[in-house]
Amino acid sequence: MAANIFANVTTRGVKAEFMEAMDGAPTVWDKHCQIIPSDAKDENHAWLGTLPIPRHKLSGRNFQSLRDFTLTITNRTYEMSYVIDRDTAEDDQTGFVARANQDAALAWSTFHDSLFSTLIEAGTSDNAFNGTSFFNDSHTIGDSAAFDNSLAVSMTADNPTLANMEDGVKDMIAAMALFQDDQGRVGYTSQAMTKLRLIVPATYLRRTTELIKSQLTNSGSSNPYYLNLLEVDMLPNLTAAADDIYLSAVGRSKRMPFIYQARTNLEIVVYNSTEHIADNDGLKVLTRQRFRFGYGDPRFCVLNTGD
Amino acid sequence: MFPFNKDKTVWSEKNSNIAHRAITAQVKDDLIARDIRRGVPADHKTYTVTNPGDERGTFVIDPDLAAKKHSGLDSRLLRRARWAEFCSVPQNEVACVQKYEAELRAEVAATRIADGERVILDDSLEEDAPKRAVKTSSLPKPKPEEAAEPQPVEATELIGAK
Repeated sequence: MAANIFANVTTRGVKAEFMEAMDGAPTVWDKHCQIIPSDAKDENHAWLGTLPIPRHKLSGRNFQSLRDFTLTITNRTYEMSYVIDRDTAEDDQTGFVARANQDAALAWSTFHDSLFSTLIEAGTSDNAFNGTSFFNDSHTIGDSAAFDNSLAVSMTADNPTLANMEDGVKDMIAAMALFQDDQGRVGYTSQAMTKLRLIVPATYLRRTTELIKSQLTNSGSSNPYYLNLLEVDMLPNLTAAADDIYLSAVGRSKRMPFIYQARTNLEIVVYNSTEHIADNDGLKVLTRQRFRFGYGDPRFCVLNTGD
Repeated sequence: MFPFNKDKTVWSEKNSNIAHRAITAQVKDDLIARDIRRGVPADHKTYTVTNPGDERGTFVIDPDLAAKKHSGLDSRLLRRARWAEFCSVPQNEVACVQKYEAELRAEVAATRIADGERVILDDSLEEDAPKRAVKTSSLPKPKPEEAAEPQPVEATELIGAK
């Protein structure tokens, strides 16, 4: 009987390879999402409003209820299954099997970013918890003034200059700083804005990197964004033609602009018995995970689109 | 995409931005007006209060109203169409920017009125382009000779006024 060339490939070993490769893969989504564990088919997210405005105590206490918005996010199941061909593995002299598993792990990582890109780009159509599209020019939440997190300013050029980019980012930050809570108070975004991240398509990477890495602006004055005010994440899946950039405020871990609802961890099953390998003519690997991306607080993300 | 003048010179980037802002604001106003015509409450709130007996006051979205409210995509498509239309024919850069600048001044003044600040209405301004034109005590009245012969406008102090 021929030796089983996959005898050393175990589920535990493949999982270790997966985790190592996934840990090393650069991802964007996890920097912008609040990770929420899920233990059911769907989760009912309660968006508890902010606390009432303190008042001068006169005679007794004045109990007020919090605004409570709800949003249900249903988990989805994703899978990736593949067979490593027996003939190829038999002839391999350079660690093909391990590489294939690492490539598959990388594919999982980039798949998350791909879904995250789709979520962001659909934000002009799909609703946030307040019943308004996530990116909209006239949001209201509770008693807040109408706010606009879908800007179209200072970016008329298809290929923005550094000055365009600087103006665009300045407007996005200024807009976000004035967003109010559901009691109509400004300052709601202050804590979240202690960490700001830009999400850009590949075409804008050069300009935005220039924006945060140049000590001086084109006019020779000091560049405020040089002082670690911003970090840039490039998402290659974003449609370059859209000319959109996004500013996320991620300094408040319990309220983020986006949600990652994690139902199950990545499951990996490896069929490495002699019978399975003969039956499948190779090493069959099944992977599966249940999760769902969703929208969080629209006050923590601003879109700036160039026309 | 930039507008161009009758002599085929392209508008400056700064003035293009002023025009773009004005068109964006108009699109927003038009879509909000459409929402209201469709039945969305004038304060744009698309949710309704349920469980009035519940002290916590749970809010849920009214799906019908939410569906009637314009989306970010509606704004983008309409704005792009109007911007493309604006850029497709020659435009008078000086006149347009002066008009938009006056509208922005009126907008700023209107905001100050809403904040309770005392402003002085100027009827002579209202006869011209901006229908909400007002003159605040801090804004100097334009001199007649300036109005007769328009000068190029940079309007730097209005860039951040929104």
